[in-house]
Amino acid sequence: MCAETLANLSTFTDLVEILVDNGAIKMLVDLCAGENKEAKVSGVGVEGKK
Amino acid sequence: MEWEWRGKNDCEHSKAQHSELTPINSQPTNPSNPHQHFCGTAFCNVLKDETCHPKIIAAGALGPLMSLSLDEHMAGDLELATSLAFALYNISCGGIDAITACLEGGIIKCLVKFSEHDSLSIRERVAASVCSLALSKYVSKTGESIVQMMISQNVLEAIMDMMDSKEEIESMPEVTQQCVTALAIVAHDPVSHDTIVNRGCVETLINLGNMTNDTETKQVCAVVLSVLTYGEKSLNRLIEMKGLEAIIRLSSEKDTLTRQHCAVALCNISENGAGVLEMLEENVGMVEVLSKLSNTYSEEAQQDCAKCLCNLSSIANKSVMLNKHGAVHALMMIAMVRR
Repeated sequence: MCAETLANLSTFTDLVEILVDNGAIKMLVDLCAGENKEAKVSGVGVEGKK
Repeated sequence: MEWEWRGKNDCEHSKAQHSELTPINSQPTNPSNPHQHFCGTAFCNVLKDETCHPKIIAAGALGPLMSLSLDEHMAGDLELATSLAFALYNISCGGIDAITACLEGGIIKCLVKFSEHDSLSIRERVAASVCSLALSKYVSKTGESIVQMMISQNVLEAIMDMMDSKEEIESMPEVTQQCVTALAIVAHDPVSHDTIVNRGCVETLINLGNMTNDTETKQVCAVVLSVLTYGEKSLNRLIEMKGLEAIIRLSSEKDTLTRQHCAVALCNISENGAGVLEMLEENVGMVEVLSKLSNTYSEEAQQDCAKCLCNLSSIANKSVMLNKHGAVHALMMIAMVRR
């Protein structure tokens, strides 16, 4: 999914620089090398108001 | 005469608009690494932005890009191959640092491989990439020029193979245009002339001049043929392979640049012993050709036509024949316009 998402995001010209500045190329290099690192989303979820 | 190369705009500036690729839904063809299919699209898209090239190169992307382009599994995946060809084109449109990096990373080998692909758009991008790279000022650490580097890595053969059949020339004018433009850039460096002769490029160009109906291809073909008339070996081959006929055909074009280069070529041929004799054969109708060609606003073309008539008239016993065909009238017309 990472490669597919990256491919889709990169079609938006405005996002290319942001992707490049945030390590997308390193990820692309890893994906090409066959390092199957699927994204693991980390962080704190926002709880909805009760 | 000075020869000035006018690079095609799309070789120097335009970027691949690859966002029109169909939505990603085709299946990867390399089961061992299904990501590669999408990596090609990502490479193509990120490399569209020239300002990002330094960061992309610094992140080590060129190695995987080249490896992927040479991967056996890649060729069967048309979308991936197309994306990679566009990616290579996009990087070849970058600045000298990007071009240096991609040349040292092996882009020429990738382009030669892609030139064998069946896809029209892939081959067209290969030729455009070659144009773009050839226009760069790259010189290797060992002092090798970009043209020498391309010759040593069989780029000429790749270009020739892309325009060696009549069917392809007729059905894929875009590819032929780019190929002949690439050849024009390479031919501009006299270092390439021997190789161009030895690898059969003159014959291919003559065939192209004789058969193409595409105006732009005719223009660039005239440029290359005229450039090749400057070198002794290439001029001799051109005459030997009946290149005069192709140049005469091209000289009937309306385009001024095409006519100028035909005039240069004819002038140079007329300075060659075998060339001038061929021009003076009755069935060639050289005086009529020059009369029509000199009917132009281009002073350079008129001067070259006048020089050519002068060379023709230097052959003993031919002045009567020349006069019969209107040589004096043609000269008078040029003289009246250019007093």
